[in-house]
Amino acid sequence: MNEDQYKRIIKKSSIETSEDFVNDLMRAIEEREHTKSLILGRYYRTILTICTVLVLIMTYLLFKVLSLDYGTLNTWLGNYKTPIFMIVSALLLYGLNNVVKLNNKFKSYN
Amino acid sequence: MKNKSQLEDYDLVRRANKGDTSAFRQLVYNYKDVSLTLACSILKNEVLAEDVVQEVFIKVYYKLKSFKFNSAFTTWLYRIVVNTAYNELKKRRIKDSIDDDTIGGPIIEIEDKDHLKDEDQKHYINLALTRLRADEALVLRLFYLCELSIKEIKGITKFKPSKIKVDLHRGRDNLQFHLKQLLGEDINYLL
Repeated sequence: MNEDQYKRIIKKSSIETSEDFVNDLMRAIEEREHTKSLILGRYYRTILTICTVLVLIMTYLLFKVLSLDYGTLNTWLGNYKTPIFMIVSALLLYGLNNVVKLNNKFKSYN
Repeated sequence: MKNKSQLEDYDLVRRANKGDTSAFRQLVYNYKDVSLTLACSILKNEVLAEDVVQEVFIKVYYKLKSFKFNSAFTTWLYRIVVNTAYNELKKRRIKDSIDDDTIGGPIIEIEDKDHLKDEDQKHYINLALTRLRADEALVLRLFYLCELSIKEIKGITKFKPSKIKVDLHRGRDNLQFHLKQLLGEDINYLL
């Protein structure tokens, strides 16, 4: 057999998927998305509580650290204590807000 | 230089990445049969191969954002198909080579030899391909069915070019041998 004949023969060997293949696949993907959102939904309250406690601890520690007297460092930090405190607190709240947003996003899938 | 179908694939991938489900559906529709045929070359079982192809497209759905547009979408997809199928083969410990008693089985009598239907031709060709080693059947299909070069096949299978050439050579010989075993002189009806 020559190259063309092999090519012609192997071209005929293409196998077709079952009729519902695409629909079954899309259904399987939807199910996985749904399971993912359920997992997040189940642990949402725990995650949110942990994050809130962490934010409170971090805020308290930060406030304490900034209140301490570090001599030269304190002089330098003196004018910036409030802005630093506000920026860090804002970042922590931004992170917490992302957790809430993520939960709402997954809720919309259901 | 990208060809038209490659550019169409890129467009579908971009749309699918933006959340367009119909674009993803189109990608699946375009490549589901070739993917199944390639998986079948390795697994030798249509039902199992279809499950593997479904798993492949689920992987593709989640990994699509990581696709870099510096190679053809098909090269990327076929690599996932081949890897997943070989992993499944390892997992299920299916023997790579076929049992000795199936090699050179009896010649099947064809009732109406003058009119070997398309479906019958397909059946015998696939039967002969099933009797080849997985690597040989895969390389033959990538070369002749997908019309890929040895360099592209190397990119997908990670085989050395010398191995690809040997598999192509042996695959051609073995395919002819098994087709002759199955069809006898009626092999000419396929040509």
